[in-house]
Amino acid sequence: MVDAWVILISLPIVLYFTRAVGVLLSSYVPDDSPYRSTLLILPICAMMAFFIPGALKGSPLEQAMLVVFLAVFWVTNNSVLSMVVGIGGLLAAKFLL
Amino acid sequence: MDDFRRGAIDSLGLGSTAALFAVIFGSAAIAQGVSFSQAMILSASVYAGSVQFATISLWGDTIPYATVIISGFLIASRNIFMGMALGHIFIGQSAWKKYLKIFFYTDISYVLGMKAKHIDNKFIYICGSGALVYCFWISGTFVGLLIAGSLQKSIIDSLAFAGIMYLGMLVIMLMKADDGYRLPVVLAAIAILALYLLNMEQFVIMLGGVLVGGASNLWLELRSRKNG
Repeated sequence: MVDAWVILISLPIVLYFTRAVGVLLSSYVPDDSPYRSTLLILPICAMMAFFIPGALKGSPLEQAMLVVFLAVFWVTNNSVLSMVVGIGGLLAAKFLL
Repeated sequence: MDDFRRGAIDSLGLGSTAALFAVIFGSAAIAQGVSFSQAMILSASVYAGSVQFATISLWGDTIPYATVIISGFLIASRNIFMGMALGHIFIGQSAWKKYLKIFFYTDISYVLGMKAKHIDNKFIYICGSGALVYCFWISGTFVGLLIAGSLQKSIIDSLAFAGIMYLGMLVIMLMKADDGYRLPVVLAAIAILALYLLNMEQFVIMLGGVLVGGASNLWLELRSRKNG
């Protein structure tokens, strides 16, 4: 258990480390290597690893809003409109139900 | 300079939605007992929404240091993969430029960088995107801290799921950027689902998904090279 300031100093260092280490490692992979295209898919998998469990943990109503939100984004490709629909839906569910 | 401006313009949409999350973060921080200055320092120095939300959820009179740092690292570990994927654009830059601007390398700048196939200088483009989103993020946090008193905690809690929506949107953007990923992505999704249903830890789920996606993509890549 520590003072908040220790967190405020060390957490940015940890975050910076995660950003820098990948960039550093990347410089060891040649541009024409078959590993290069494989590296491109890793972030999608990493994001999905947070997205899928997070989506499954939501309530049925939240999951329904998520489906609507993703469908709107898939069709319109408009992030602002989709977020308005998504957040608006979550708020509407909060106040109306 | 054109690529810098293009990066900033292209990130207006995602940046404004990030600002909305920053407003929620500012309000949630106050509700959790984080002071105004501490919340601003968190946003200005960490600059990673998911990590910041996880951190303030553990905030209290006594903060479990190891838990905060380890959970921060685990959540942010996807940055390592993003760096590995697009890190080659940082090669050839002077050390101070490279290591200063790595700070701005986030989910949004990565996704936009992947989509921007027409851009000559992706390094500058990502810097433009990251700098603009950073401004949005800081401004949003500031506004959130100011209006914290007028937002009920139940409303803030009900918006927690919006973070998952945002992540889903980034995944779709990445998948749309290249059709060749479909089979490995589907296999990775199946692996992630299976590991989740087996009640595995978040880090194991991520490693499993990354390994399955990466291995299947590598196999497809080697096979297509072999077939010419």
